[in-house]
Amino acid sequence: MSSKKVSSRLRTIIKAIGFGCLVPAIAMYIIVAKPDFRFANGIAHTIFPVFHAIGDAVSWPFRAGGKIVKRIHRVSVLEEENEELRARLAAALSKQTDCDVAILENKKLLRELGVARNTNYETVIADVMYDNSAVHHETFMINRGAADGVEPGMVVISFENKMVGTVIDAGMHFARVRSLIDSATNIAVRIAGSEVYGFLRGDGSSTPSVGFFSDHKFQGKKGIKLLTSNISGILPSEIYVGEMKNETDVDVALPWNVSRVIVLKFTGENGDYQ
Amino acid sequence: MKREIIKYLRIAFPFLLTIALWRLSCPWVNPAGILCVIPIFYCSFIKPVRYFSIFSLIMCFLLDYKFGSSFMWTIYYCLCYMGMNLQTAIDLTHTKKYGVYAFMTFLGIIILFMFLQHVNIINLLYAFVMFVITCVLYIPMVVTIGAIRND
Repeated sequence: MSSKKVSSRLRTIIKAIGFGCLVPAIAMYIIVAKPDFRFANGIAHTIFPVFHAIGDAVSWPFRAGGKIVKRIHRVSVLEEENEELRARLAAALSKQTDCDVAILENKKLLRELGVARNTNYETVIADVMYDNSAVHHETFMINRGAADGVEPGMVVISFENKMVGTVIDAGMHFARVRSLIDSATNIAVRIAGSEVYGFLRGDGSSTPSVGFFSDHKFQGKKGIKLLTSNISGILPSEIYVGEMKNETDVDVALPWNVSRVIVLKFTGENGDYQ
Repeated sequence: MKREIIKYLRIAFPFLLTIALWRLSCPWVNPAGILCVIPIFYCSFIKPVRYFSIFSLIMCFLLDYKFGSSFMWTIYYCLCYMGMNLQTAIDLTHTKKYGVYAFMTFLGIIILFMFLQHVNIINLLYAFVMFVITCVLYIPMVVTIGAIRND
């Protein structure tokens, strides 16, 4: 065997050992840094924008093509929708008074049901950059970050005032949001119109489950509405979470159905919702 | 000058392709940019490209960041890299069909691991779709990489 071959093999072995040594190092780091991973997230905040920019530059023809296809589809849908809306508008105008009364009745009913329409928070409006759903992981990126005051732990809601998820990491100009259906989601909720509390847990499916009720006699059923609970100030209170489909499953706002979200800033000084 | 640019583009192609696939993430087809595993696997184990292992490590870290999985891909890549290079019994550089079966095993193990963390029908379907799409796209992608790099 020539000396060149030996040195090449030796280099490969050294490299392999180097990679092997990384495993216990990373494992130790996971044990020490869990659950914040500040150092790793700090590295990601530097690398992510750089690779993202390179990716933007390299993949723009594909993204542009995708956008064109999407817009063509949207225009065709809009044309159909426009015709339908015209017909509906004509019908609605003829029943304008009935509609006004119905809206007022609806507002009254929503108040009575205890459904939150809370806007007493400082907010940041953000666009969803993309959805990272895969098996039981369900996170998505938004285009607002630490520079806009977004911090990990902040709650993200849709424009229909439905909770969508919580910020788990914030870069300078982007943030990662864990949606309600992610398997790592576990939040305290309250049954609307009662003092029963429980925990909502994601499992990767589109309907997370609720359980561990404070009142063990309580039985979940279809139609029950869930709101956030302000236990320990982790989540703001009275944010609409979803509606129960059956005894355990809950219909929640799904990340792939939202394109724009609202981030609720903390109200307390210690990164919480007082 | 023109030849020089083409030469550099040839060298850079697998790197740029990996970043592009990671960037072009979309639910179901390319969740969190998982398709970037194809060039990572091919250029690390089947046709090793110089400096690609370090680059792959960064990409696995970024894949983990997007997935929200705690260093799962990074650790898995490190273990595979160590396993492939410390022994001489299995040599993936001489496998047939561009190492598609080795890739299926590589991907299958980690997807199975992800699925077993939360077992339900939706996750099974998701894991299956993810596995099929990635495996189907493997051959066309590695053929393209090979053609451009003039292997």
